[in-house]
This record gives sequence, structure tokens and C-alpha cells, in this order.
Amino acid sequence: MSKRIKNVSISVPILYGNHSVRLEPEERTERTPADHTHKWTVFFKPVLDNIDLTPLIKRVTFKLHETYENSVRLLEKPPYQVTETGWGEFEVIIKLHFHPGAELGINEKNFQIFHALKLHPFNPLIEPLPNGEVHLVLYDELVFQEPTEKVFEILTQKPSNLIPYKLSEKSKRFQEFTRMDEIDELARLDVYIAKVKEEVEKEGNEFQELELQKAALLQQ
Amino acid sequence: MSARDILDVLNVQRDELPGLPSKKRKKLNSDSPMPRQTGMARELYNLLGPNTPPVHLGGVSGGGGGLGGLKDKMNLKPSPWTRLEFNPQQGNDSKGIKLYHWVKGSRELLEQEQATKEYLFAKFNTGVEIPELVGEELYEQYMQEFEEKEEEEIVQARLEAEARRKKEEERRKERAKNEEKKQAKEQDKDQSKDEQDKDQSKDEQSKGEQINDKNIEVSIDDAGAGADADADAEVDTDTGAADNTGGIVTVASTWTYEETKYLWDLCKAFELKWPIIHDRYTYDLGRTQEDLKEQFYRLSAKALDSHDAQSKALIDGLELYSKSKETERKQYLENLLKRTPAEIAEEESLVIEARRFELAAKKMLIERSHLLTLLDSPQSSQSILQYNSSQGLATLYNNLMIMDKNQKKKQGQLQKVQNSNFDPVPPAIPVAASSSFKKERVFQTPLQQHLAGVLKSNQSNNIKLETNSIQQLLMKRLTQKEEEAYGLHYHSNEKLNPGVLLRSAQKLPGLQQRQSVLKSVSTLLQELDVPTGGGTSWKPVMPTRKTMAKYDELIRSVVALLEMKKGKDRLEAEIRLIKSQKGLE
Amino acid sequence: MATSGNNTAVYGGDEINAIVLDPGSYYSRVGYAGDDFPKLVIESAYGESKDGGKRFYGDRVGLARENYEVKPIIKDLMVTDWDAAVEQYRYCFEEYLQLQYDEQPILITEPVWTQHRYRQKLIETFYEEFDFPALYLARKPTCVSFQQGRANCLVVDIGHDSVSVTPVIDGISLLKNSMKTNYAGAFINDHIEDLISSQYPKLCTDSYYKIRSKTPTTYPEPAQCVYRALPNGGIGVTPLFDTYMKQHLWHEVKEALVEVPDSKLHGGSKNISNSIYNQDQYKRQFQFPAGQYVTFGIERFELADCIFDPVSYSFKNAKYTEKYPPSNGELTLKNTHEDYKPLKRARKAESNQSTPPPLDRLHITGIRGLTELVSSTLSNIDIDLRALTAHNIIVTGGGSLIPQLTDRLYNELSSINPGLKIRLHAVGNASERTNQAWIGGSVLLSLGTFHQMWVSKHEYEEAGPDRILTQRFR
Repeated sequence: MSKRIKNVSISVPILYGNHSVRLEPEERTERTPADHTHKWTVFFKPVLDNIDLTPLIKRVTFKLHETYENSVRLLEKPPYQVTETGWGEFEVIIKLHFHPGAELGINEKNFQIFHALKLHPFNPLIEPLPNGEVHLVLYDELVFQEPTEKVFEILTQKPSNLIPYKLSEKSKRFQEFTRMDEIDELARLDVYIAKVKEEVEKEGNEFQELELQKAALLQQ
Repeated sequence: MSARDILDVLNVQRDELPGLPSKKRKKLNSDSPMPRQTGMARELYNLLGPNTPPVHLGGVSGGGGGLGGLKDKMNLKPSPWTRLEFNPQQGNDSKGIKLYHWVKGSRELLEQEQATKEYLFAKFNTGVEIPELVGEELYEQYMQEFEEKEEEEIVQARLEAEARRKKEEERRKERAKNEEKKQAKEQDKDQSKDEQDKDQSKDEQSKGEQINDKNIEVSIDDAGAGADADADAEVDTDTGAADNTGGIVTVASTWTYEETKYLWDLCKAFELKWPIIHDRYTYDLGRTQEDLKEQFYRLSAKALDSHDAQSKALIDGLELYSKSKETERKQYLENLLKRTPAEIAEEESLVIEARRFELAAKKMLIERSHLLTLLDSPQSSQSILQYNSSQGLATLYNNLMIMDKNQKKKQGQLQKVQNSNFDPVPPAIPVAASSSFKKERVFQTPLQQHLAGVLKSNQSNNIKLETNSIQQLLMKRLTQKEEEAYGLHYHSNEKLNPGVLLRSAQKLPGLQQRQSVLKSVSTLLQELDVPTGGGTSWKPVMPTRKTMAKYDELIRSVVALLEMKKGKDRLEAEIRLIKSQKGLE
Repeated sequence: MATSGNNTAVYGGDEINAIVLDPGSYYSRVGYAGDDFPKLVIESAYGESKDGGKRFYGDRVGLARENYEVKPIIKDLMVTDWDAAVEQYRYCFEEYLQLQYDEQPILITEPVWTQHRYRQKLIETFYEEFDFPALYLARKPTCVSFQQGRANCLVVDIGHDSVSVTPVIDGISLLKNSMKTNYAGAFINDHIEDLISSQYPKLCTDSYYKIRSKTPTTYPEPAQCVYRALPNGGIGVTPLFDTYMKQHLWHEVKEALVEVPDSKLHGGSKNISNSIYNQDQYKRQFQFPAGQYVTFGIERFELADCIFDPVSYSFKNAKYTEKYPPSNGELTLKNTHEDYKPLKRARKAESNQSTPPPLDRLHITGIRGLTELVSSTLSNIDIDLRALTAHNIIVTGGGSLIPQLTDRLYNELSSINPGLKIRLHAVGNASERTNQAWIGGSVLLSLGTFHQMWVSKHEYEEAGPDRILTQRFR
């Protein structure tokens, strides 16, 4: 029976989202409905490819739109992704089922990530790619709070938080997140914070002035 | 007097409503628990009137009688008391003493009783059981034994004293010799002319010394002989002489049978209460209480012993009595009592000081043990027996080398972040046995410290050590950065809910605000171009721990700003109000 | 066998209403056991006309008659005049109490220093002269301890003729460790007389019986009184009678005025003139029978102080100095039992006490005052019992009623014996305190368990007084 390690959290960065390309005629099969315009893949994976979450995750389910046959796709082992064709953007519910049991001590039953499938490019400024490639990849982290020893063991096999600093390729800008992104974001947030604090101070000074005014008025 | 009676007396007829009085009567009848009173009682109650007194005046017993039972009692004969003669010492009819006391009961009955029953207090006529005094011959025999024992002790004591004295004499002799030699030398130096004489005198002196020595020896021998003679002759005589020879044990004057009988008599009469026995002891006024006790106890011990060894414990206890010790003890107590207040105060202060010293010593010991545990090499949690042999030492060495190499490897590996294969570093030897690692006990990060703590607590529970992942981790001795690489974070004070969650889904504490506040925050953020993730989900683009924290900070400051603004606006409004008021005036 | 009511159950009592006789140097007490007070408290003196006529006892003694003398019966708690004693007791039993001799036995109290011969005479007299069926002799301190209910105590009895200190262990008085001096009530009386005669020459000390009426005057003004017409013009009044009446006067002065000072007035750095007792608040007046008012200041305290510190107070009149030879309180105990002669008399002839000599802290003169007496008795008690006894010191006797006496005694004892926890017990009631021994005897005789101890006349006749004394009255 593994004991829980108190006051410790361990996090695993993950990526989820979807890629989408225009459906080429060659790829159509008989079964492919006519109105499907795109081929898309919705996925869930750890940022680092060498991290294996199988000991923890029993299966991943992707719940697609009801109109799809077998709308709930179960995946027992990585890569956790579903490739389909379709025409519309809908919400995919990515559900993680963890291995039950006291060893892992993970009792989450309803771990869901909602992802809005993106088929069409959203940024009008950027030239859309010829194949209509669209990526919507989102970064997140799985945070295990007070992991049991087993979980700890599994997750400390390899350092999972070592996300890369650079893009593997330039083209993969929309597909990857780097450490630099985090740093940039932090910097940006800092800027905002500083701005806000500045405002706060300004307001504070004005406030004080007004207080003096008021006092002066009252004394008159 | 009831109304009816008055009317009766006055011979007045009154038309009474038949119902009422009868009702009244009925009530009365049903109310009163008393039965009908006859004679005196009736008159009495008639006097009192219809309201009966709260206290039932009738007798407790009897009840029906006029005086409440007293009458009956009056008629009865009182229980008889007799002035009865009795003899408290019923055992001895010859000592018939006639005493009288009042006893409840009729004479005849009581006299009958007395014939059979014993005097009530006769049972308190107790005494103390003491062993019987032995017959005269046995007595003599016992006394002989005692004396022999004492003789031995005396002789021994004397021998010791002699030996001591001899030593002293010898010392004295030597001293004397040396002195005389010195004197002789001086004489030599001073008077050269009378050398012959001096020689002569020296000879004489030396002779004299020899003679003295002889005399001394002779005197010692004499003393010894004398002592022996004394010891022999000591059976029945006074030991004034014995005292002179300096024996430690002084034998008091010996006990005669007559005296011992007297003592026994007193013991029985006074129930072995020694202070009283000693007080009334007039046979020989020189006896101390301890003397008496000694004689009694030792003879009783002998008597009991010879009878039957039933109460061995008692006999042992009796034989334990030591007169000298008792006398000494009493002397000590006296001295104790006679201490002046100054001495008592002194003693108390000494006691207090002693206690202080003890405390200080204890503290020192504790501190020392603390230091030792700090400085000392940590305990081995596993037995080190396996490493006692030469083979063991070899394995130990190898393991250490492996550890070392692994350390270095790991450090090299950390450079290559991306494609390195992180093999877990299995520890070749358990943590406890690695002495090289023991040196750096200090963990660099709080997480590690925490984990070390966890490990220890776990270790205390598990007897067998598994290659724990925590251990592995600790082995690597990560830096803060490296820890982050693992995604580990040590929350020192936060309360963590066990389980899994998505970082972005984490509720930021800064977002605990009312809806209105949140709306304004969101507007502000939009103004500032801060990514809000579309309204409800407030998260940075890349939700990591750090960014989330930063985000939180941002939102908090925004909230603060808004509050400030609100306050300011209020103030402005107030000022305007005052102005308008003032302005109007 | 039911005995008298509740007494048996609760107190172990069995009343036989025996007689308790408690002779004292000033007063003797007679009464029934079971009572809490003696029926008769009678002076231990008798009056007799010079030519040996009728004798008077009790209240009738104090009347002035012609050629009439008053003589004492008891001295030092022992009967000196046996005939008179017998007559007085007969008067008590037959005329006053009107008792039937053979209906109850009698208990007689005796002090601790009685010798064998005296006791023999005592029991002989009682067995032969009176028809009591049985008799018992009890030591006074034992009775006091019974009255107080303490089995282990130290009884300090301050009486008229003597001050005695006796340890009582388990209800039995220890004779060897007892001490007695004569610095008691009579001593103070004599000091008073000494003081008056030497320092107040103008004081008229005529006793009440002589005075018919008086007008108050202040000393040293002469007395203004009218004398009574005495039979034969007062010629017949014998000096002995006059002395006797004067004794009463001193007694009265003593009871009215005397008070114990907090500490010794003389000795050491204390100078009598520095004493606070010179102040006005301590002065009291006394009116003498002739009407003169005399103010006494520090003399009051000096008078009381003399029982604590007899050394510092010497008599002016030589006759008193003779009367009170220096006494260190030790009792000689030779001849308590004549049968057993000490074998080693030659060796131990000097010391009469087999315990080591008392270790007084104070300078040992030949004289012991009250505190020193108590203290040295305490030091002589076996060390094991000492703490117990010191914690139960009973102060009794008429003399102990002098104000502040118990306080002074307590303070001095505590300072001498810092190691011991001293505790004094003194009955509050004045009349109880003077009669404490008698009351103790009454308590003793009411106990059911006591009745086995009686020595019947039958026994006496069989065994003889000697054996009785040695066997029964040990």
C-alpha cells in the first residue's frame, strides 16, 4: 500500500488538440460521407515523447459528435488520437481514465478535457497553408497532488517537465510549445502586472489627494 | 368553636339550607383522615374548631387513645433498671470486688444473665504475649554463649588495637632513633673533646635505646599477656579493666538470672513498652533502654529458637538487634535535633546547591548527547555485518565506486536535455551503507528535505528496504532546476487535495470574487490585451505552474486596482456633494 | 448485658460512680466519677483552736475565732498531717457527700515524686480508716492526659507549691524523666509579700476580716478605714491565722495583677529601666483591704517573670531565701522500691538518673526556671518519642492561668528547640484548668476497661501494702 507523499505535487506537461487538413479526394473512401471536407486528428499526448503514461492511464476516450459512428473512441495505449473526417467543428471530450486501485490512489473518474475541434484557420492575417493545415494545440499540465509512492515512482523515472526550449522545426510553430514560450508569457504577465500596479499607485495618490480635499472642505 | 356550637349555646335556631351544611359536613368527613375521636380528643378538637391543626395531635402509636398513646404508656410499667452488682475480674473469685452499676432490665433476668455472660469489658483485658523466660540452667548456658561471643569480639578488637599500637611504637622508635642520631651528630660537632664520652654516651644511648626497645617490647608483651589473662578472667567480673586496655567493645556488667527475671516481669506488666519499662526499672539504675532491649531480644531469640523454628523471621529480626547501633542511632538523632538554626540553614543551602549541580550535570549530558548525535556518524539502519568481512569491504568499495561513476554520468547526462535516455539510477547499495554519501546529508532543496523526511518515516515503518523511488530521487541530489525538470514541486504550506487535475482547470485563488468584480476584471484585462482565454476560462496561454502563479498575481492586482478606483469614485462623489452643499450656503 | 445507655457503645463507658479524690497543696477536690466537676473543692488546711479543740474544714476555716489557728494538711502535694487529713476526708465523705463507703471504690491521685514509704502509708490509711471496697492510686499527669485525651504528652503542672513537668507515654507517667521545682504559686505569693514589705512600707496590709468599712485612698496616703470589733479586741487572733489570711490577700493580688512579660526582663542586654513595661499602659491599680489604691507597673511583670527566671530575683527577706533553696528540678529517685537495692551502687552513686545529663542550651546554674525545666525534661526523653511529646505539651494548673504565660513559654521553648515542633495545649476554661487532674480521674473511672484494675480490700488484706504497691501500683 503506497502512502501518499504530502505536500508534494508532480506535474506532467501535456498537449492536446487537433490537427486538421483538407480532405483530399484520394483519401476518401466509400464510407466517407460526401460532406466531409476535412480530415482531422484529435490527440492527447505528453509533451515529451519519451514519457509513457500507460502505467497511470488505463485508457483515453474521445467522445465525438453523436453523428459519428461509435462516437466514443477508446484508446488503451498511446498514441492517444483519433483520426476522422468531417465537416463541422464540434466539441470533443477527451476523457482520461486512470488505473484504479489503491496503489495509484487516483480516484478521478471524470477527468475531462473539452476541446473545440478546429478545422478552419482563424487568423486572417496569416496565409493559410495550401493543404488547409490547421493546428489547434493547447498546452496543459497534469498535476498529481500528493501522489502515492507508486505514482511518484512512475513519474520520476524520467524528468517529464523538460519541455524543449526550441522548436524542433520552425514550421511546427503552432504545434509545439517551448520553454521559451513560457518565459515569454511570464515576461508579458510581468509587464501587465507592473502596469496595473502603476495604475494602482496612481489611483492611490489621487485617492489621498481627494481625501485631503474632503477634509479641507469639511473644515470650512 | 364552631358556628353551630355558638348557635347551640345561644339557643338560636337558624334556618339552614339543608344542602349546604350537609355538604360541608360531607366535605369535612371526607377530608379529615382522622378517625372519630373519643372523649378527651373530641373535646379538644371541638375547642380548636373546624379547622384541624396541621399537626396531628394524636399519638403516633395507638392513635385512638386520648393522649395519643401516652395514656397507654402511662399505664404501663416503666422498664426496670437495676443497680446490679458485678465483678469485673471474673476470673478470680478470690479477688471478689463488688462494684455496682445501673443496668436496664429486671433484676431476676439480669442475674440470670450474669451467671452466664462475661463482663462486657473483660475482653479488653489483653496483654502482650512474650516468650517465656527459660529456666536457670539454660539461662546460664545462653549467657555463657553470649559472653564467649563478646569475648571473641573483644579479643579481636584488642589484637587490632595491639597491632596498631605496635606500629605506632615502631614509628615512634624510629623517630626517636633518628632524633637521637641527629643529636649525637650535633654533639659530635659541638664538642670534639668529649668524643670518647660521647661515644660512650652514644653507646649508652644506643644501649638505652635497645633497652627501651626491649622495654617497649616487653611492655607490649605484657599488655598482650595481660589482655589474655583478663579475657580469661572476665567471665563474671566487672570489666573496668577491659576498658583500660582500649577494647572497642565494652561489655556492660553482666546480667544475673534474678535481674533477668525482674526484667521479664516488667516486660509482661508493661506490655513491652520500652520507655515505660526503662522508667520503672529500678534493679540497676545504670541500665540503659538499649541494654534492656538487648538482653530481652537475645534471650527471646534463643528461647524461640530452641522451642521450634516456627517464626524464623521473628527470630532473625530479634537477632538483628544491635545495641551499639541503636545507641549510635539515637546519638545521631540527638545531634540532628541540636543543630542550631544556622546549621540547619547551612544544610538547606547545601542541599539546594547540590540539586543545582545535579541539574547542571544533567543538562550537560543532554547537550553532549545532542552534539554527539549531530556530529556523530549516523546510525546504520541496516546491519553492517555484511561488510565486516574482507569480501564485504570489497563489495562496499565497488559499490561506492559505482555510485560515484553514476553521479558523474548523471551530471553529464543532464546537459543533453532532449534525447538522452534517462536511465533510472538504481542504487547499488542501500542508502544507509554508503558512507561517502553520508557526508553530504544536507539536501539542497526543501523538497528533498521533505522527501528525506518522508523517507525516514517510511523507513522506520518498513523493516526491509525496497529500492524506493524516493531514494532514487534523493540519490540524484537534484538541484532546484532539476527538480523542476521532474515537474516536482514542494508545497510547504498549501493544503493539497490528493488527486489529479488539469493545470488550467486549477481554480486560482485570485479569482474568488463576485461576478460583478469578475466582469470588470475581464473588461480591464481585455483592455490590457491580456489573454483571458475567452471569458470564463482564465488562464494564460501556456499554463504552467509559474504562469498560473503570475496570472493569479495579475488578477489580484487588477482587483486591487478596481477597488481603489471604486473608493476614489466614492470620494469624488462625496466631495461633489459637500461642494454642492457648501456651494449652496 | 446492657449497660448504661449509650455510653457503652460510644465511649466504652461503664459508670459505677466511684469517688475521685485529688489532693492539692492549695485545694483538694472530691467528687463522683462521671461528673465533669468535683462536688467539693476544699482548702487543704484546717482550723483548730490552739488548745486542740474542734476542728474546722472547708468554708468554716476562714472565720476569725479566738485562739484559733489554721494549719496546712498538704505540702508539696503530699500529706504532712495524717490525722488532720483523715479527718478532713471523713468530713468530705460523710458530712458533705454523705456517701456509703461500700458502694463505690475510690481513686486517689498522687504526684510523681512520692516515695515508697509515703505511698504505703497512704494506702494503709485509706484501707484501714475508710471502708471503701477498693482503691486505686493514679499519678496526676496520667489523669491530666486522660482528661485531654492524649496518650503521649508532656504535662506541665503549675500549681501552688510546685511546678512539675512529666512526660506521659501511652498513658503512663515516666518517673525518671520528671522534674519539679518549687517556683510556683506560693513562690509568687512570697515575692509579693517581699515586695510589699520592702517597697511599700506605708501600705496597710490588714486583711479583710479586720476591716469593717473603708474609704478609698491612694497610696502613699495612709489608709482610712474603720476596724471591725473582733472578739476580745482582736487579741485572740493568732499570728498563724493572720498569716493565713494574709496569704489569701497575696493570692488575690497575684490573681488580679500578675502578668507574664514577653521575654526575660533581666539578663543580657536588657536593662529593666529600658523595658517597655515601664509605660503607663501597663500599670494597674489594686485596692487593698484597708482602702489604699496602689499602682503597680513593671512590678507586675517582674513578679510573673520570677517563675521563668528565678535567678534574677532575690528576696529581700532572708526567710524566703531559706524557704526556697536553689533547685534544678531534678528528682531523686532513691528508695522508690525498697526491695531491690541497686547492686552497683558504688559505681553509679553519683547520678540518680541513668540517662545522660540534660543538655541545656542555656547556662546551667543550679536553678531552672519554667522554660528550662520543660526544655531539659524534653531533652531527657528518648529521642524517638521526643517529637511526639513536644507536639503534645499540656499546660495545666492554676498557675498557668497567668496571662501571657503560655505564649511566653511557647516562644521560649521554640527558640531553644528549633528542631522540634512545639505545641502547647491549655484548656480555655479557667476552672477546668485548675481541676484538670480531678476531671481526668473522673474520665478514667468511667471507662469500662478500667474496672479490672481496682485493688480490692480483700487483696490488700491478703497481700499487704508492700506487695500491692510493687505489683499493682507500679
